[in-house]
Amino acid sequence: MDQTILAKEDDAQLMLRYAHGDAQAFDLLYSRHKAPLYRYLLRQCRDRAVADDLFQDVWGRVIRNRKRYQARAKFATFLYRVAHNCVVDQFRLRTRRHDDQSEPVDETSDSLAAPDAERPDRQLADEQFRAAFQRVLDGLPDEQRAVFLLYEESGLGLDEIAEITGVGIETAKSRLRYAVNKLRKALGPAAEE
Amino acid sequence: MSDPGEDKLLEDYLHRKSALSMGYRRVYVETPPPELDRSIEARARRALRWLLPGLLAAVIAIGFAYSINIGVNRYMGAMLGAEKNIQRTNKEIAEQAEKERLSAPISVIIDPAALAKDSSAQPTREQWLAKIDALKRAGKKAEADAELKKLRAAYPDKKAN
Repeated sequence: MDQTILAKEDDAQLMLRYAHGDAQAFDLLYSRHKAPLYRYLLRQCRDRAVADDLFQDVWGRVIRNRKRYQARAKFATFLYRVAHNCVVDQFRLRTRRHDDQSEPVDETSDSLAAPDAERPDRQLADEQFRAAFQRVLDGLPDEQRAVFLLYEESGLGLDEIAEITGVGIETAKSRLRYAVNKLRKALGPAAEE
Repeated sequence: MSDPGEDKLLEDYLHRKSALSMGYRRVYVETPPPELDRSIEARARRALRWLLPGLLAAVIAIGFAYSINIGVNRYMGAMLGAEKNIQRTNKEIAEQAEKERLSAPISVIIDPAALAKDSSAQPTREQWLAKIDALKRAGKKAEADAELKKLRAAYPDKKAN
């Protein structure tokens, strides 16, 4: 099928096309969602290797369940529900192994970092902002961090995020309110209007 | 009860144009490594490779089941036909036997024993009269009168002496 025609299809149509054997439809669907999903997993896990595994696991489940997919809800809701469940399973596994005793490490900021002397001021400021952001994110309760990251990365509304996380919309809204206030207060002027 | 100021900040944030959102999107821009992309896209294609053999297998299985079904139907049809033929033949034989029975001479169909039984049940008028006469001669008047009554009832149009 022509890529330009395919590009106009919504996610649900692309998923249905893939389920019927159209590999190009999957490529387009994947290109639309891969980066936000990857960032969501990376921020949640705070470990690149674990995030990579979870990322493959989530898409593997999407591929396996392609024939069961029904276009009743948005594809993003389906995708992030799978991702959220994978993250929750990962947290449980980690808790059982007592891995939480070690300090979480944001490997992504280290890998992007260059010596201070080589970086322009803006880049340096961004690195500092990023490090501060990460510290506050890491300090949030899991439920608040999940709602904040889902809101930022999935593009879904609060009602859909409530559905993904298995809570009522008011609970999801309350969690987001707490997360946003903590981030604003901790990050100071850079995070305020 | 939530703070109205916090609610306002949340409403601003929900429009996705807050400094917090823009700051987040400015610093978090990672994408999956290319080897991960290749791995997942290859996996998606591998999953489809099974689609064609799967479809072919399904078509073959359906065709096989269909042909078995046709075979079974034919066999059942043949069995039913044979059964009908047997039933028809039996009916024809029975009809033929009935025809033959009806067209046979009457003596053939009258049971001699039944005839003897019938003849013993009711004697002819002459036999009856002879019996009455014998009873009278033997002095059995009452019995003779009773037999005469029966004779008159059996033959009301004849006059017995």
